[in-house]
Amino acid sequence: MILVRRRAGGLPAGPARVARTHSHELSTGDRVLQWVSGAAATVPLAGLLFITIILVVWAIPAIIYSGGTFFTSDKFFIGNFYNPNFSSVNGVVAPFGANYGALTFIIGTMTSSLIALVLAVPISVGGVLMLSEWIPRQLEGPLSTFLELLAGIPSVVFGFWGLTVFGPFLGAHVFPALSHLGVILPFFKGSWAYNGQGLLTASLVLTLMIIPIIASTTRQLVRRVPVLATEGALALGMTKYEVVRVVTIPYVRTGIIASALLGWGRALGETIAVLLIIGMANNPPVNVYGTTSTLASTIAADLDSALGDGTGMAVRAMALLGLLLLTMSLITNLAGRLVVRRISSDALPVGRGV
Amino acid sequence: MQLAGTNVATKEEVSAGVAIEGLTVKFRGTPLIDGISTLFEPNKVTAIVGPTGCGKTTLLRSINRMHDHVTGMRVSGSVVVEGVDIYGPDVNVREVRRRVGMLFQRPNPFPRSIVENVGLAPRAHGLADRGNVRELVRENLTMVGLWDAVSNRLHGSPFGLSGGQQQLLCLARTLALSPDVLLLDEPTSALDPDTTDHIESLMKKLSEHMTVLIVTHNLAQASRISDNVLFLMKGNVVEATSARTFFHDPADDRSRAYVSGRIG
Repeated sequence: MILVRRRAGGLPAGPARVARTHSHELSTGDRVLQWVSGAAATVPLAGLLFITIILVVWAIPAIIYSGGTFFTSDKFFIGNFYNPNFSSVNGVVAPFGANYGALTFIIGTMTSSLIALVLAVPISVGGVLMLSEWIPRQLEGPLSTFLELLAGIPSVVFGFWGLTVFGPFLGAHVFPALSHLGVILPFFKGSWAYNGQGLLTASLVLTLMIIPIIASTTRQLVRRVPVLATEGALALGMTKYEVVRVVTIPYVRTGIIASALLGWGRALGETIAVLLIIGMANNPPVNVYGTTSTLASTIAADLDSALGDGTGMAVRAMALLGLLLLTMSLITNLAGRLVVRRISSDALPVGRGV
Repeated sequence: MQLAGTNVATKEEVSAGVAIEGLTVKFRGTPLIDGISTLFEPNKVTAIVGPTGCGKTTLLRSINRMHDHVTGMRVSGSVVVEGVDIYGPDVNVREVRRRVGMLFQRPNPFPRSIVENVGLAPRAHGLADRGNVRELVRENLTMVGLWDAVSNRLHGSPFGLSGGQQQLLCLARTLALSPDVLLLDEPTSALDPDTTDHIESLMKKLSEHMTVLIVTHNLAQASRISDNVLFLMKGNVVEATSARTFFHDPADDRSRAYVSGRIG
């Protein structure tokens, strides 16, 4: 405000003048632009609100029907449409035997996305630091382009490849070796499907899908580390490794957390690739190789049959799954954004001791 | 002496200075420093002065091999620090930089805690261990006069300090490696007058133990603190003499013109 007032006196076309002309001197073009840009700015917000409200409204009967069992039961059954009897809970009527427990899908979604995240973050960050610090500059360009091209592969192609090539390969050559590791790491114990379909294969494909997201953000962050800061470390005789540890990583750490959360959001919502690879079993995975389902893949796979439910409850249960997925994605996204905002302020993270 | 891998480590009390012989620094073929030979006397403060773009900073950065990391920079000739040519074969660059400390134009503390800023490099060089690093940190922060201001926030971020305090922290960080040569690249150009005075008096004191080279645009500063002056123009030495001679009775006409403010 002060700025505007001070400029109003001397400068011919300062913000004050623009502000004054705002109401009555607009040309038709300005008005059109104002409306179009105003509408364009509202659409995303309105879209999000609209979708959320619709999902909530649709999901309410399913929430009343299943109550807490939505989170605690791993039995998801849309009911027997051909049975003349109906199940009724709290006054809500559903096909006979219907039980909307989402625990299987919650477990499937969380485990597949978290395994992908745990693998993708070190690979992306390590790869980017490698590119920026140790690989000759001439190679950096093509390698980075290749990394970012990964992001352009359609997810159905990932799913197709995972189902026909990668999964069978893992099932034949990698999982047998991994399961031997089970002696030391009980995590890897267990049997697997011969074609590799299951949690771990889906997680590995998800890893490939979110690496570009995390890597491209990290790359930009690493490039923004001030030269003066890295030179300060070099001038003290520090090695490249020490410079990375002492200067680069603290500078990019918060940004990496933010990009990891964005990548996680992508992994949570990934549908078709997971649908093709994870095996779509209606139960939590029995081991790390086990088949299971996720929220997104279940909605995609079951919505069609849910539409055949005369009581309409199956579709409402799908809406509830969608609402939960939306909430999870929004939380990771918002958390990511919050962290990003914290980087822009100059408060930098600080280590604990020498 | 530990510069070359084969030498036996001995810590000398006095510095032997820096001898530069036929030094040429080129950036993508263009010479920035054009075959300079000069001697920086030990235990003296030498001010490197000259008009913008004359190669002051380039010269300074070649004394701790900072050009190594800049693509397109080519250095030839020799820079002898403590009797060892730092561009010679089998030289340990890490050790060169341990012995030749550098303070930059703007403060550049690490994004780590204050205590880590001072303590990490001595730990990396094996000059201190977990047990005595605190003592080393306290010693060096005290030496630059920062201890009282930061002793209760050693684990806090250095970015909460004022610009002047940050620069002192960077100085303490450099001194913690007990260098023989201290390079200062316009260290006070971004600082307030009080901190500038403080750093200037520190330089005088430090020159008792080490060779101090300072690049400065500020002739008044150069006359206040330097024992010797190296006057550069277009990558060549115009005059290398004592500060007294340079400011009162320079031999070269260009020096006279520069001192009187007609060029530069």
